[in-house]
Amino acid sequence: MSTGHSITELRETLSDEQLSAFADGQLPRRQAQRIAVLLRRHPEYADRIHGYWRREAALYLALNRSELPDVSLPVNRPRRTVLLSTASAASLLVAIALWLAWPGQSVQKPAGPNYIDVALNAYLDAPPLADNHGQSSLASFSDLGLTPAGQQVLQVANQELHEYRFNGPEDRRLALYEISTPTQGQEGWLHILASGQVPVVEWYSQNKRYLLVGEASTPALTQLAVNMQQLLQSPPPQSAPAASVQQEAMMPAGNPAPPAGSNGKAADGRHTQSSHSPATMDM
Amino acid sequence: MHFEKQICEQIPHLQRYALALCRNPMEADDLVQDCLERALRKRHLWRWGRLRPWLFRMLYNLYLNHRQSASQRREIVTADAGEELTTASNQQPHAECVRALENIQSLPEDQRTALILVVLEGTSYRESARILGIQIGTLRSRLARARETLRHQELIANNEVRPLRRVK
Repeated sequence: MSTGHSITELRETLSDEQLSAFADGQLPRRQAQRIAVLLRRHPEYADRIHGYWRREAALYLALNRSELPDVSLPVNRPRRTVLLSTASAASLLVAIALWLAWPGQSVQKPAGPNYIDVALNAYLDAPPLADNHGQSSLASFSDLGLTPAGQQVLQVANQELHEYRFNGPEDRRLALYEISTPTQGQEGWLHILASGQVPVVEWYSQNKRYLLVGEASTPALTQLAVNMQQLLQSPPPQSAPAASVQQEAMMPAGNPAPPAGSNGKAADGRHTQSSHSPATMDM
Repeated sequence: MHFEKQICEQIPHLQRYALALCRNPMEADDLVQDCLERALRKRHLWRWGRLRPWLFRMLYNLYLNHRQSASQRREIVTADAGEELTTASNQQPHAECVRALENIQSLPEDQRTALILVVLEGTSYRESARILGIQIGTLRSRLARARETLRHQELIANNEVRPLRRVK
């Protein structure tokens, strides 16, 4: 074999690494062009690359199928105590997202009415509300880009379920449900239920259980829940005593208000101007 | 974009990668939770670069830590009965998918994690290498070996080649 011939053969040979990088489109343009020429000349290499892609498409499909597995995960499954205490001590803004199946399948749900189903039904079958302004028990979510759309109280098994409706950007409907309850969940943790018709984010705070339902992507709804949680735990002070009653009317009670005259709260009980502006919802 | 919002957007990707690594939903869920907790605690360490490699690196390191501590405790990490990954009833089982999952489990750990990251998340070599804490050359080599192993497995399964026998 002549030297020239062996050099040609060498040039015509592609290493596994080159083929693999070519399949991933991770080669510099000039090198990729050279390999493309070789692939036309040697179909066996092209077949190998095609094989990579085929196997990886199957792998991608297989792994993606299990993205939201249809298995029930306990809401309060045992976790390492140190992590829980760290999380609560640090007052995390977002605790952790648990992607759950619908709660009817959950194994450790507390007994009693399934408020998530109730909230979902109320949200999906929402009849128009006569009172679009509601009672003056609430502050404002307008900083989050939400416009109040009414509120009502639903009776569920001798419990009051407060429904607050909002319109988000692009007139998307959202509803927040508030139930007074002894804390049954981990304070400050968000539970994200993403496998139903509309996503639901649930959290517990100050002996209240909150369910946020809405026409939004799960991340957007989660982000909104984080911001709502912040606002409910520490309602923003407002500077103008004449802040609109309607704004106040559309926010769940959350934390008790600070004493009059302190923390930016006006003597007449209304909140003063917000000192911070949470992110608006970007759906 | 807010830090929390960026994190929220990455949750499905982290879950997918964690599930692919662990093959056990409970374990994967724990891993993602730990990752998110750590990310939130250490957000001051994030230098306003891209969040994704930072989070994935964290997830991968936690995964390695979990594995190490599990092996130290001599735990056998297996999915509980009924907690196996299930195929939804409306999804027809696909032989090739099943085989792909089986085959990838047989790869060495370092090759498997590299291939899953690149295939599943479509990360660039630079980003993947950063996440896995290795050089780009090492990554390329691992990917190539993983792919060739899978190819060889398929050829054996199709009786196109015989498995190599070890000879002394």
